[in-house]
Amino acid sequence: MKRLLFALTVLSLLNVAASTTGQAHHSPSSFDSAHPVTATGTVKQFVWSNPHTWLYLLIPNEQGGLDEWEIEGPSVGTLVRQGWKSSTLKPGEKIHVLMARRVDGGHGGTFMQVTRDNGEVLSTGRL
Amino acid sequence: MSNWKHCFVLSSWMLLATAPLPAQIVETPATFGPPKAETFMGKASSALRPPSNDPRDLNGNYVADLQKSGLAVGAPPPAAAGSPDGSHELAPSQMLCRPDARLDVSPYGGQIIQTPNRITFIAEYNHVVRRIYLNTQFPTQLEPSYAGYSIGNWDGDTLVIQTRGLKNASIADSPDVVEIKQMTERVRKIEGGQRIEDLANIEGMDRNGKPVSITRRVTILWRSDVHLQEFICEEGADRFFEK
Repeated sequence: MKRLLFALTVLSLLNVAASTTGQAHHSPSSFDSAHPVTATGTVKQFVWSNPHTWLYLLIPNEQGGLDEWEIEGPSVGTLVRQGWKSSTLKPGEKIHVLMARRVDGGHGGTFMQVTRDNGEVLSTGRL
Repeated sequence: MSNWKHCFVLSSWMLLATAPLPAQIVETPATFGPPKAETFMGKASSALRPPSNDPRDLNGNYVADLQKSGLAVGAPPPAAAGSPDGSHELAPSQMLCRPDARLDVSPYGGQIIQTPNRITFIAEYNHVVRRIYLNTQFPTQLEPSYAGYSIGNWDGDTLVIQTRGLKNASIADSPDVVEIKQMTERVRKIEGGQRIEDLANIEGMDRNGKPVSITRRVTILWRSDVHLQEFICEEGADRFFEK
Protein backbone atom coordinates (compact mmCIF):
# COMPACT_ATOMS: atom_id res chain seq x y z
CA MET A 1 0.00 0.00 0.00
CA LYS A 2 2.79 2.38 0.93
CA ARG A 3 4.54 1.62 -2.34
CA LEU A 4 1.33 2.32 -4.29
CA LEU A 5 0.80 5.62 -2.52
CA PHE A 6 4.43 6.52 -3.05
CA ALA A 7 4.07 5.79 -6.77
CA LEU A 8 0.90 7.89 -6.96
CA THR A 9 2.65 10.71 -5.17
CA VAL A 10 5.56 10.62 -7.60
CA LEU A 11 3.17 10.63 -10.55
CA SER A 12 1.23 13.49 -9.00
CA LEU A 13 4.39 15.51 -8.47
CA LEU A 14 5.34 14.92 -12.07
CA ASN A 15 1.92 16.18 -13.04
CA VAL A 16 2.39 19.23 -10.82
CA ALA A 17 5.71 19.84 -12.52
CA ALA A 18 3.96 19.70 -15.88
CA SER A 19 1.39 22.15 -14.59
CA THR A 20 4.11 24.52 -13.47
CA THR A 21 5.73 24.24 -16.87
CA GLY A 22 2.40 25.31 -18.23
CA GLN A 23 3.01 28.75 -16.80
CA ALA A 24 6.07 29.21 -18.94
CA HIS A 25 5.58 31.60 -21.80
CA HIS A 26 5.03 29.64 -25.01
CA SER A 27 6.42 26.36 -23.82
CA PRO A 28 4.99 23.78 -26.25
CA SER A 29 5.10 21.18 -23.50
CA SER A 30 2.29 23.03 -21.72
CA PHE A 31 -0.25 21.70 -24.18
CA ASP A 32 -1.12 18.30 -25.55
CA SER A 33 -0.80 19.03 -29.26
CA ALA A 34 -0.63 15.31 -30.03
CA HIS A 35 -4.28 14.89 -29.03
CA PRO A 36 -6.19 17.94 -30.30
CA VAL A 37 -9.84 18.37 -29.47
CA THR A 38 -12.71 20.42 -30.80
CA ALA A 39 -14.67 22.22 -28.11
CA THR A 40 -18.07 23.68 -28.81
CA GLY A 41 -19.15 26.54 -26.63
CA THR A 42 -20.22 30.14 -26.35
CA VAL A 43 -17.83 33.06 -26.29
CA LYS A 44 -17.82 34.80 -22.92
CA GLN A 45 -14.96 37.16 -23.72
CA PHE A 46 -12.19 37.54 -26.27
CA VAL A 47 -9.24 39.49 -24.92
CA TRP A 48 -7.15 41.22 -27.58
CA SER A 49 -3.74 41.44 -25.92
CA ASN A 50 -0.09 40.55 -26.18
CA PRO A 51 1.89 38.42 -25.71
CA HIS A 52 -1.23 36.30 -26.13
CA THR A 53 -4.87 36.78 -26.92
CA TRP A 54 -7.29 34.97 -24.62
CA LEU A 55 -10.58 33.31 -25.39
CA TYR A 56 -12.96 32.64 -22.52
CA LEU A 57 -15.37 29.97 -23.65
CA LEU A 58 -18.41 28.61 -21.81
CA ILE A 59 -18.72 24.89 -22.40
CA PRO A 60 -21.64 22.77 -21.16
CA ASN A 61 -20.55 20.13 -18.67
CA GLU A 62 -21.96 16.73 -17.78
CA GLN A 63 -23.80 18.15 -14.77
CA GLY A 64 -25.92 20.48 -16.88
CA GLY A 65 -23.90 23.55 -15.99
CA LEU A 66 -21.28 25.56 -17.80
CA ASP A 67 -17.54 25.39 -17.38
CA GLU A 68 -15.45 28.41 -18.22
CA TRP A 69 -12.42 27.51 -20.29
CA GLU A 70 -9.49 29.87 -20.62
CA ILE A 71 -7.89 29.31 -23.99
CA GLU A 72 -4.69 31.02 -25.01
CA GLY A 73 -4.36 32.34 -28.54
CA PRO A 74 -1.57 33.70 -30.71
CA SER A 75 -0.40 37.28 -30.34
CA VAL A 76 -2.39 40.17 -31.74
CA GLY A 77 0.06 40.66 -34.61
CA THR A 78 -0.09 37.01 -35.59
CA LEU A 79 -3.87 37.05 -35.73
CA VAL A 80 -3.99 40.36 -37.59
CA ARG A 81 -1.82 38.84 -40.28
CA GLN A 82 -4.31 35.99 -40.54
CA GLY A 83 -7.16 38.44 -41.01
CA TRP A 84 -8.48 38.66 -37.46
CA LYS A 85 -9.70 41.80 -35.69
CA SER A 86 -10.38 42.53 -32.05
CA SER A 87 -14.08 42.22 -32.85
CA THR A 88 -13.80 38.92 -34.72
CA LEU A 89 -15.27 36.98 -31.81
CA LYS A 90 -18.19 38.50 -29.93
CA PRO A 91 -19.65 37.50 -26.57
CA GLY A 92 -22.58 35.13 -26.98
CA GLU A 93 -21.40 33.69 -30.28
CA LYS A 94 -21.41 29.90 -30.62
CA ILE A 95 -18.10 28.61 -31.97
CA HIS A 96 -16.12 25.43 -32.40
CA VAL A 97 -12.54 25.66 -31.20
CA LEU A 98 -9.81 23.31 -32.37
CA MET A 99 -7.27 23.36 -29.60
CA ALA A 100 -4.59 21.55 -27.69
CA ARG A 101 -5.63 21.15 -24.07
CA ARG A 102 -3.50 21.87 -21.05
CA VAL A 103 -1.49 18.83 -20.10
CA ASP A 104 -2.51 19.21 -16.48
CA GLY A 105 -6.14 18.56 -17.37
CA GLY A 106 -7.33 22.01 -16.35
CA HIS A 107 -10.01 23.92 -18.22
CA GLY A 108 -7.68 25.54 -20.67
CA GLY A 109 -5.57 25.14 -23.74
CA THR A 110 -4.24 26.89 -26.78
CA PHE A 111 -6.39 27.35 -29.85
CA MET A 112 -5.26 26.53 -33.37
CA GLN A 113 -8.40 27.26 -35.34
CA VAL A 114 -11.90 28.58 -34.71
CA THR A 115 -14.97 27.72 -36.78
CA ARG A 116 -18.13 29.76 -36.53
CA ASP A 117 -21.41 27.91 -36.25
CA ASN A 118 -22.12 28.82 -39.91
CA GLY A 119 -18.98 26.98 -40.98
CA GLU A 120 -16.67 29.96 -41.51
CA VAL A 121 -13.15 28.96 -40.59
CA LEU A 122 -10.89 31.43 -38.80
CA SER A 123 -7.33 30.26 -39.24
CA THR A 124 -4.39 31.01 -37.00
CA GLY A 125 -1.89 29.67 -39.54
CA ARG A 126 -1.04 26.55 -37.57
CA LEU A 127 -2.74 23.98 -39.82
CA MET B 1 -0.80 18.84 6.06
CA SER B 2 0.54 15.38 6.80
CA ASN B 3 2.42 13.46 4.16
CA TRP B 4 -0.45 10.99 3.81
CA LYS B 5 -3.07 13.71 3.34
CA HIS B 6 -0.78 15.48 0.92
CA CYS B 7 -0.36 12.26 -1.00
CA PHE B 8 -4.12 11.72 -1.13
CA VAL B 9 -4.84 15.25 -2.36
CA LEU B 10 -2.21 15.06 -5.05
CA SER B 11 -3.39 11.66 -6.21
CA SER B 12 -7.00 12.81 -6.34
CA TRP B 13 -5.95 15.84 -8.32
CA MET B 14 -4.06 13.62 -10.74
CA LEU B 15 -7.11 11.41 -11.29
CA LEU B 16 -9.24 14.51 -11.90
CA ALA B 17 -6.76 15.65 -14.53
CA THR B 18 -7.36 12.47 -16.51
CA ALA B 19 -11.18 12.58 -16.26
CA PRO B 20 -13.18 11.82 -19.44
CA LEU B 21 -14.11 14.67 -21.71
CA PRO B 22 -17.61 16.17 -21.67
CA ALA B 23 -19.79 15.69 -24.75
CA GLN B 24 -19.02 19.18 -26.06
CA ILE B 25 -15.34 18.36 -26.38
CA VAL B 26 -14.39 15.72 -28.92
CA GLU B 27 -11.03 14.43 -29.95
CA THR B 28 -10.19 15.68 -33.43
CA PRO B 29 -7.37 14.24 -35.50
CA ALA B 30 -5.32 17.16 -36.76
CA THR B 31 -1.68 17.85 -37.30
CA PHE B 32 -0.23 21.07 -36.03
CA GLY B 33 2.86 21.55 -38.08
CA PRO B 34 5.86 23.29 -36.60
CA PRO B 35 5.51 27.05 -36.73
CA LYS B 36 6.98 28.66 -39.82
CA ALA B 37 7.67 32.27 -40.67
CA GLU B 38 4.25 32.46 -42.34
CA THR B 39 2.57 31.27 -39.16
CA PHE B 40 3.51 34.44 -37.33
CA MET B 41 4.02 36.86 -40.19
CA GLY B 42 1.48 35.78 -42.81
CA LYS B 43 2.22 34.69 -46.35
CA ALA B 44 4.35 36.85 -48.60
CA SER B 45 2.32 39.44 -50.48
CA SER B 46 2.68 40.97 -53.93
CA ALA B 47 4.57 43.81 -52.27
CA LEU B 48 7.57 41.51 -51.76
CA ARG B 49 10.49 42.78 -53.82
CA PRO B 50 13.97 41.28 -54.22
CA PRO B 51 16.76 42.30 -51.87
CA SER B 52 19.48 44.71 -52.94
CA ASN B 53 22.43 43.23 -54.84
CA ASP B 54 24.82 45.24 -52.67
CA PRO B 55 26.23 42.86 -50.04
CA ARG B 56 26.77 45.80 -47.70
CA ASP B 57 23.20 47.01 -47.99
CA LEU B 58 21.25 45.40 -45.16
CA ASN B 59 18.31 47.79 -45.33
CA GLY B 60 14.90 46.20 -45.25
CA ASN B 61 12.47 44.06 -43.34
CA TYR B 62 13.09 40.54 -42.17
CA VAL B 63 11.27 37.79 -40.31
CA ALA B 64 12.34 35.05 -37.94
CA ASP B 65 13.81 32.04 -39.69
CA LEU B 66 12.19 29.46 -37.44
CA GLN B 67 13.21 26.49 -39.53
CA LYS B 68 16.86 27.36 -39.89
CA SER B 69 18.10 29.13 -36.80
CA GLY B 70 19.79 27.35 -33.98
CA LEU B 71 22.69 27.39 -31.65
CA ALA B 72 26.05 26.48 -33.02
CA VAL B 73 28.62 23.95 -31.91
CA GLY B 74 29.50 24.01 -28.23
CA ALA B 75 26.42 25.91 -27.21
CA PRO B 76 24.25 24.97 -24.24
CA PRO B 77 20.77 23.52 -24.77
CA PRO B 78 18.74 25.97 -26.84
CA ALA B 79 16.10 28.13 -25.26
CA ALA B 80 15.40 30.68 -27.92
CA ALA B 81 16.15 28.86 -31.10
CA GLY B 82 14.05 26.31 -32.90
CA SER B 83 14.27 22.94 -31.19
CA PRO B 84 14.80 19.70 -33.11
CA ASP B 85 11.08 18.97 -33.32
CA GLY B 86 10.48 22.37 -34.84
CA SER B 87 8.80 23.78 -31.77
CA HIS B 88 9.65 27.20 -30.52
CA GLU B 89 10.94 28.29 -27.13
CA LEU B 90 11.69 31.70 -25.73
CA ALA B 91 14.59 32.84 -23.61
CA PRO B 92 13.87 33.89 -20.00
CA SER B 93 14.19 37.59 -20.74
CA GLN B 94 11.79 37.27 -23.65
CA MET B 95 9.31 35.54 -21.35
CA LEU B 96 9.43 38.59 -19.11
CA CYS B 97 8.89 40.99 -22.00
CA ARG B 98 12.44 42.31 -21.73
CA PRO B 99 14.36 43.44 -24.81
CA ASP B 100 17.85 42.17 -25.45
CA ALA B 101 20.53 42.20 -28.11
CA ARG B 102 19.38 39.33 -30.28
CA LEU B 103 19.11 39.84 -34.02
CA ASP B 104 16.95 36.83 -34.78
CA VAL B 105 13.68 38.73 -34.18
CA SER B 106 12.12 35.47 -33.09
CA PRO B 107 9.32 34.69 -33.56
CA TYR B 108 8.21 37.82 -35.45
CA GLY B 109 9.84 40.38 -37.66
CA GLY B 110 12.33 43.20 -37.64
CA GLN B 111 13.66 46.09 -39.68
CA ILE B 112 17.19 47.20 -40.46
CA ILE B 113 17.72 50.89 -41.18
CA GLN B 114 21.18 51.70 -42.46
CA THR B 115 22.85 55.09 -42.65
CA PRO B 116 26.56 55.85 -43.25
CA ASN B 117 27.44 55.97 -39.54
CA ARG B 118 24.84 53.83 -37.91
CA ILE B 119 22.81 50.69 -38.44
CA THR B 120 19.61 50.51 -36.44
CA PHE B 121 17.87 47.26 -35.87
CA ILE B 122 14.27 47.27 -34.69
CA ALA B 123 12.39 44.13 -33.73
CA GLU B 124 8.65 43.86 -33.37
CA TYR B 125 8.98 41.70 -30.29
CA ASN B 126 9.75 43.25 -26.91
CA HIS B 127 10.71 46.69 -28.25
CA VAL B 128 14.22 45.62 -29.18
CA VAL B 129 16.18 48.52 -30.67
CA ARG B 130 19.86 48.00 -31.36
CA ARG B 131 21.99 50.91 -32.49
CA ILE B 132 25.24 49.82 -34.07
CA TYR B 133 27.61 52.74 -34.41
CA LEU B 134 30.02 52.35 -37.33
CA ASN B 135 33.71 53.21 -37.48
CA THR B 136 33.99 54.34 -33.89
CA GLN B 137 35.20 53.13 -30.49
CA PHE B 138 33.45 52.17 -27.29
CA PRO B 139 32.89 55.00 -24.82
CA THR B 140 35.20 54.90 -21.85
CA GLN B 141 32.30 54.20 -19.51
CA LEU B 142 29.27 52.14 -20.33
CA GLU B 143 26.05 52.11 -18.39
CA PRO B 144 24.56 48.59 -18.58
CA SER B 145 21.51 48.35 -20.81
CA TYR B 146 19.33 45.61 -22.25
CA ALA B 147 20.66 45.99 -25.79
CA GLY B 148 24.15 46.99 -24.70
CA TYR B 149 26.38 49.31 -26.70
CA SER B 150 27.37 48.12 -30.16
CA ILE B 151 30.04 49.26 -32.56
CA GLY B 152 30.49 47.91 -36.06
CA ASN B 153 33.09 47.71 -38.79
CA TRP B 154 33.01 46.13 -42.23
CA ASP B 155 35.40 43.26 -42.87
CA GLY B 156 34.93 42.78 -46.59
CA ASP B 157 31.23 42.11 -46.99
CA THR B 158 30.81 41.01 -43.38
CA LEU B 159 29.68 43.44 -40.72
CA VAL B 160 31.56 42.78 -37.50
CA ILE B 161 29.60 43.97 -34.47
CA GLN B 162 31.04 44.14 -30.98
CA THR B 163 28.64 44.62 -28.10
CA ARG B 164 29.46 45.38 -24.47
CA GLY B 165 27.54 46.71 -21.50
CA LEU B 166 24.78 44.13 -21.61
CA LYS B 167 22.54 44.31 -18.59
CA ASN B 168 21.76 40.64 -18.50
CA ALA B 169 23.09 37.46 -20.03
CA SER B 170 19.90 36.26 -21.68
CA ILE B 171 21.40 36.38 -25.16
CA ALA B 172 23.54 33.40 -24.17
CA ASP B 173 20.37 31.32 -23.79
CA SER B 174 21.95 29.46 -20.93
CA PRO B 175 21.15 29.66 -17.22
CA ASP B 176 24.80 28.87 -16.53
CA VAL B 177 26.00 32.13 -18.08
CA VAL B 178 25.45 34.94 -15.61
CA GLU B 179 27.48 37.72 -17.15
CA ILE B 180 28.51 38.70 -20.66
CA LYS B 181 31.71 40.60 -21.19
CA GLN B 182 31.49 40.97 -24.92
CA MET B 183 29.57 39.63 -27.87
CA THR B 184 31.19 39.65 -31.29
CA GLU B 185 28.93 39.03 -34.26
CA ARG B 186 29.80 38.45 -37.88
CA VAL B 187 26.77 39.45 -39.92
CA ARG B 188 26.50 38.91 -43.67
CA LYS B 189 23.99 38.44 -46.41
CA ILE B 190 23.73 34.91 -47.75
CA GLU B 191 21.73 33.24 -50.50
CA GLY B 192 21.71 36.38 -52.59
CA GLY B 193 20.32 38.41 -49.73
CA GLN B 194 17.37 36.12 -49.05
CA ARG B 195 18.83 35.54 -45.60
CA ILE B 196 21.13 37.33 -43.20
CA GLU B 197 23.43 35.15 -41.13
CA ASP B 198 24.51 36.25 -37.66
CA LEU B 199 27.34 34.21 -36.20
CA ALA B 200 27.91 35.38 -32.66
CA ASN B 201 30.67 34.57 -30.22
CA ILE B 202 29.64 35.35 -26.67
CA GLU B 203 32.29 35.66 -23.99
CA GLY B 204 31.19 35.79 -20.40
CA MET B 205 31.33 34.28 -16.96
CA ASP B 206 29.49 31.29 -15.60
CA ARG B 207 27.89 30.98 -12.18
CA ASN B 208 31.15 29.66 -10.78
CA GLY B 209 33.10 32.68 -11.94
CA LYS B 210 34.78 30.83 -14.77
CA PRO B 211 35.08 32.26 -18.29
CA VAL B 212 32.74 30.78 -20.88
CA SER B 213 32.54 31.17 -24.61
CA ILE B 214 29.44 30.38 -26.63
CA THR B 215 28.94 30.42 -30.36
CA ARG B 216 25.47 31.15 -31.61
CA ARG B 217 24.28 31.15 -35.21
CA VAL B 218 20.97 32.53 -36.35
CA THR B 219 19.56 33.56 -39.68
CA ILE B 220 16.71 35.88 -40.57
CA LEU B 221 14.64 35.86 -43.74
CA TRP B 222 14.17 38.71 -46.20
CA ARG B 223 10.53 39.81 -46.25
CA SER B 224 10.30 43.35 -47.58
CA ASP B 225 6.50 43.15 -47.61
CA VAL B 226 6.12 42.72 -43.87
CA HIS B 227 4.57 45.49 -41.82
CA LEU B 228 5.74 45.52 -38.25
CA GLN B 229 3.02 45.65 -35.62
CA GLU B 230 3.02 47.39 -32.29
CA PHE B 231 3.73 44.71 -29.72
CA ILE B 232 3.07 45.71 -26.14
CA CYS B 233 4.00 42.51 -24.41
CA GLU B 234 3.46 43.86 -20.92
CA GLU B 235 -0.26 44.41 -21.31
CA GLY B 236 -1.09 40.73 -21.24
CA ALA B 237 1.84 39.55 -19.19
CA ASP B 238 0.17 40.09 -15.84
CA ARG B 239 -2.73 37.92 -16.94
CA PHE B 240 -0.26 35.31 -18.06
CA PHE B 241 1.93 35.21 -15.01
CA GLU B 242 -0.91 35.25 -12.50
CA LYS B 243 -1.56 31.60 -13.32
